[in-house]
Amino acid sequence: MMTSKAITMKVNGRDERLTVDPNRTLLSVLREDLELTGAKPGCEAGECGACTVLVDGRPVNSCMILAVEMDGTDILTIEGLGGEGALDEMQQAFVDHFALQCGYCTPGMILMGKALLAENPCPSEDEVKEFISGNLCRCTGYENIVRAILAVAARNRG
Amino acid sequence: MKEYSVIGHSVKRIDAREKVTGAAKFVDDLQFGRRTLQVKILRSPHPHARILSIDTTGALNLPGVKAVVTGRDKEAGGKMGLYLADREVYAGDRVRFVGEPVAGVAAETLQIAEEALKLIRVEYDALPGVFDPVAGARINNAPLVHEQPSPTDLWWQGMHCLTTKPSAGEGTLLHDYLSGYTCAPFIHPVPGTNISNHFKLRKGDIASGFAEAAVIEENIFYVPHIQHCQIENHGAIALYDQAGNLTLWASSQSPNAVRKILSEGFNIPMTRIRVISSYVGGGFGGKAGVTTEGLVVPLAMKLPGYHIKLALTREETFQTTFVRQGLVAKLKTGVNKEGRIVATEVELFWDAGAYTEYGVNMTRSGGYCASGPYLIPHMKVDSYCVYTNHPVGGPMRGFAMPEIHWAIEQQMDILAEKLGIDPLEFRLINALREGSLSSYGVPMHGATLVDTIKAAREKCGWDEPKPAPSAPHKAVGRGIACMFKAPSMPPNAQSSAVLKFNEDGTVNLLTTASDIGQGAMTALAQIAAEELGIPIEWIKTNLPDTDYTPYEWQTVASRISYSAGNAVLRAARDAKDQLEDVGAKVLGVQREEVAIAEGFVYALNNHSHRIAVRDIAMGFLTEKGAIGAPVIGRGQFVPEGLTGLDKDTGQEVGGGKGPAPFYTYGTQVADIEVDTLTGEIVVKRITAAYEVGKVINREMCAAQVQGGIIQGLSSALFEQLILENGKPLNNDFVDYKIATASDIPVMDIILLETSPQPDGPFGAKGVAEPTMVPTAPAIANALYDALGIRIKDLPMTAEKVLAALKEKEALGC
Amino acid sequence: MHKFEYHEPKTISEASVLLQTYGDQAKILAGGTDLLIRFRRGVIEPQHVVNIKKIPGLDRIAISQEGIEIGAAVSMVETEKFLAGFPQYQVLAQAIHSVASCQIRNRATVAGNVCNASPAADTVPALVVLDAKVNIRGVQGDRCIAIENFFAGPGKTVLVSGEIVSSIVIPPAAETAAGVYLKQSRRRLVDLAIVGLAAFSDAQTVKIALGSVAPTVVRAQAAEQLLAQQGLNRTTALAAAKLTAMSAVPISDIRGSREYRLALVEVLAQRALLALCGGEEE
Repeated sequence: MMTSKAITMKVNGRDERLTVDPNRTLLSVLREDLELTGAKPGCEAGECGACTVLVDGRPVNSCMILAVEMDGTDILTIEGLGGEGALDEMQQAFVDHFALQCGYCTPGMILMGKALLAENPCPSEDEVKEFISGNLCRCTGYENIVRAILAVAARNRG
Repeated sequence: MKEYSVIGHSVKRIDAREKVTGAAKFVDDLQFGRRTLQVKILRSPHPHARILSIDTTGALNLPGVKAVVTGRDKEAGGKMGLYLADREVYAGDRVRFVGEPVAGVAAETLQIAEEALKLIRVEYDALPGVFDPVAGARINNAPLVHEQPSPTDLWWQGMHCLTTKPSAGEGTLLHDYLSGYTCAPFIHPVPGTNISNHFKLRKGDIASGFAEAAVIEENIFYVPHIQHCQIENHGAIALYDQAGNLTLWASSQSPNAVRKILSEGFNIPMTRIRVISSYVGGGFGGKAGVTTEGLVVPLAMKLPGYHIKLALTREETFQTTFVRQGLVAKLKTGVNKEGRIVATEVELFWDAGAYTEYGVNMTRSGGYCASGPYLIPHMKVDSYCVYTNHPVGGPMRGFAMPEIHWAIEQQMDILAEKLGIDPLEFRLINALREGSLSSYGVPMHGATLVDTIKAAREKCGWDEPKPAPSAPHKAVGRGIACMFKAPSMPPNAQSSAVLKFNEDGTVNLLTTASDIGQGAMTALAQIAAEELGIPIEWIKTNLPDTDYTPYEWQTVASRISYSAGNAVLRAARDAKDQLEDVGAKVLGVQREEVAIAEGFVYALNNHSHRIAVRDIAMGFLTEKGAIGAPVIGRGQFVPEGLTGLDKDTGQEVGGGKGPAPFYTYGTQVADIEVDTLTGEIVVKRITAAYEVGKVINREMCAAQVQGGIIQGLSSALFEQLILENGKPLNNDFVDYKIATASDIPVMDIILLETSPQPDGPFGAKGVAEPTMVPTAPAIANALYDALGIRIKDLPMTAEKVLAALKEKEALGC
Repeated sequence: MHKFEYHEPKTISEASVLLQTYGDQAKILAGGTDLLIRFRRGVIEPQHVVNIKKIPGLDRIAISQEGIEIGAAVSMVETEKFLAGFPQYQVLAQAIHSVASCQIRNRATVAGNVCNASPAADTVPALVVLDAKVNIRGVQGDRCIAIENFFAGPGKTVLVSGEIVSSIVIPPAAETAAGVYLKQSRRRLVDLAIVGLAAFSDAQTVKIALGSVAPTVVRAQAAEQLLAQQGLNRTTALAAAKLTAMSAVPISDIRGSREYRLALVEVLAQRALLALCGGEEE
């Protein structure tokens, strides 16, 4: 027996009303029901960070959250950045600094960059590295990702 | 140095927008609506067992289950493999590793599929397992052997087949007598044993070599299994339509190989198989050949019209796709008193896993590269690919080079110390140079190891004092390691490319080369843009689709810039030819009097007399009628002069280059700090110098080096797939750790172009794999420099370091 | 994931009743970062999941004369932020900070970490040295237990059917008190502890607790006694570190061997105690 639940959550600024089974993760609902495939199933165990989205501004592993818990929350996925052909400054920085290769960890990394600078506009290099330590990347060796995030911070400092 | 308009420049990746916006679709992102079924695989819990019976009725009767397949079904296909056909998609009558697919279920939801697995009853009869490659290689049931040629194959002209008569013997054989298996002509299985390839190399005379030696060192080194850990797990989607056409969406480095292996395994003509590549979330060799794709095909064939989708979990990716083979390497090396290596005797026992269809070739490459990047006149090498009841070994970045260099580069330091020579100087003395004879007797050209050693030496300050330790209980160390690598591919590995012009002058670059993150899409577009004289923004590199993109052997071996690059270059020249032809006619000048730049065909003696490429890309309408036609540039490339090696001596036969079109050389220096109380190694800096012929995209090239260094560092300090009686104990990210952002050192990277590759596009070689090869031994050598302890088995965990340190202290050293 | 009924009780009693009604077929969902992993692996498949995050008051963290009360639904990140203003509680802030990644810490709770009762839990040794107490509400009534008495074994607590931890209380400590949490793991960050050590000292005493070296958290009592008798200085720190190692009874597993863990305990104890007395390492 499993009763599904009606939830309303704001996703990338839009209200989404869904009825979901409680045993579905937020990751699965984003990807399958809302067709927002930017968040990725890298491990589904909260270890790799490829499923990272921002819930009420905070970065979380969407594979570790039941969708039914998200009623009333405000969710940002990679698809919510930029728009109308223009890239968000963090996205642009990743492009400019060659901070991606295969691109699979990239949505999570970009959202981590946004979340970090929202709470700490002037992070040190070590603070950036520590913040993204829950996001695994196998391609880049991380250095350019750190540089991209620091570059956005530096630009914003003026 | 010639100035190019795009070559050598750090052009932004042309797939960057797709990837930073989330628009890029990977296989699991694809959705096909309601007629999509989810697949779950039932896997063997035993490392080695006979399958006595499989009863799938319970699963078939579960509502929501649409089909079940096992190895006994006719749809399951036959034996397949790249270099040796020893593998079935679903186990037939025997399982040979924990996790081997035994049955597949397609159901309406994942949950139903998972439920169905529990209802399948399999009866196993456990068999003894082989878990040690050295012991496994000794089993010899000496049957009678009869070798016969098989019908000519598309790939391996002269493929041969072994037929054997079984005889009595002791010990467990995984693939009894290898009877009836077809394999490539350069693979030499030993029937009656678990050795699926024995590569032999005899150069010079080993006994006289050792007779000249003043110092001889014998050591054994151990490399465990590790895994690629691409952040995107493997996956595939198959559709078999009602007309019998099969379409596959795959995360693959080898769409054409997938098509070929499936075509042969399932007996479907290639015009009826279409392999479409999505964006690939990391490959590193693990998505080469066929791993997952075959599992969905039999289910698709039972369910025409349905999209059959399989997404592996991380746990499955860890143990049921490719892993990097384990290795036991025995080295006996002699040097004379001048510091020249005179002889090396090498035995390589590759723990290759249950199926070695790919692993046999790593055995070969490891064998003919067993000298390392050094000139050694006398060599005896035996490289054994040994079947074990372990996960399936396959290609991983470096293709045997990281594994053998772990041994070779430590051996070098051991010898240098015995001689009292600085390890860097020792490598300079012995480095391969122009004209040096390789291990297989061919003069080496473009042997630029010395350039990389000198560049690294200067950059890292080798001759200057090391930094002081940051605390009294810490020790600093510095270590060097060198490497070389050639693309390991058959002598006829092909690339082809088509440049298809559009009416607005833009171009589709069609190739079945995969961008797995390395930047192939961008690099190939740069080559086309440079040669064509058009802005790179006009070029779109399409994703591979075997119905529409022309043949590419595989995206492996660090060969795409070189091989596909050459095909693209030729296609660009072909297209340029057509454009200049029409352009000259339109401009009313001779053919030799025009050139193309910035999207215009212009007269050489009057640059403003010109016509836009876009105006002639579809031909041109004159008063006298139309001239020209839609421009299609066509290019093909196969490396020239690659020849085979003698079966018994490994020496080159045919008077050609041998197996390698080029080698890439590199040097890394590791600066580390060790906490002597916890054993923790912190890598502070890696200095890396690579000679690459020609840098096509500076930032992307440096990024490859960064990524390779960190993978090398991660394998050095953290990584090991822990296997107990064939069962992986740590097949998840909780207990298999890879490097994070907080583990990275300073990386000083030098890219050298001192020896352009004569037949490389704009002189380019390849660099993607070499970047991972020397990091681990450089750290090991740095550890020895810091504390006088030498760890010969990877990984160098803090626990091992502390134990070694305590042992050293106890011995009073 | 298996099928289950999902409940969002609005009060603690509602939650307690649910838990008692369904017994071990019901599990509490707080942060979910331990629970969902066990669901996914099929380790447990309870028919009822009780989300306590909608219960008013459980998301409150506040300081009063009784100390700091951390509601069961307060995330680790929120807890760490709150503690930032209090140097005397830094041992707990450090322990929290060492847990997994910030994505996990944005969801995971201190109470959840405690109730999961892993021998490797990072917050537990820190809570022990701070003399934390666990407020338990149940159908049968309420009780308050010292954290050291909360654990019955690896993964096991003393909670009985129908009981919920409503908050964890850290008693007041002098502003001059100080503590440190040290952790050794295979990889620098985002890893389980091979050994975790919390040390805390105020004017009177030094307390030392260890994680990952026994089925449940260990108090290094012999070491504490030595320091109580002789005070904390460079010399006693080294002696106490040796005694601390002797109170550990680790096993060997794939994360570390027994011998390595014992060696690490002594090293971490040295470092922690020397840090607390302002000394330097040998």
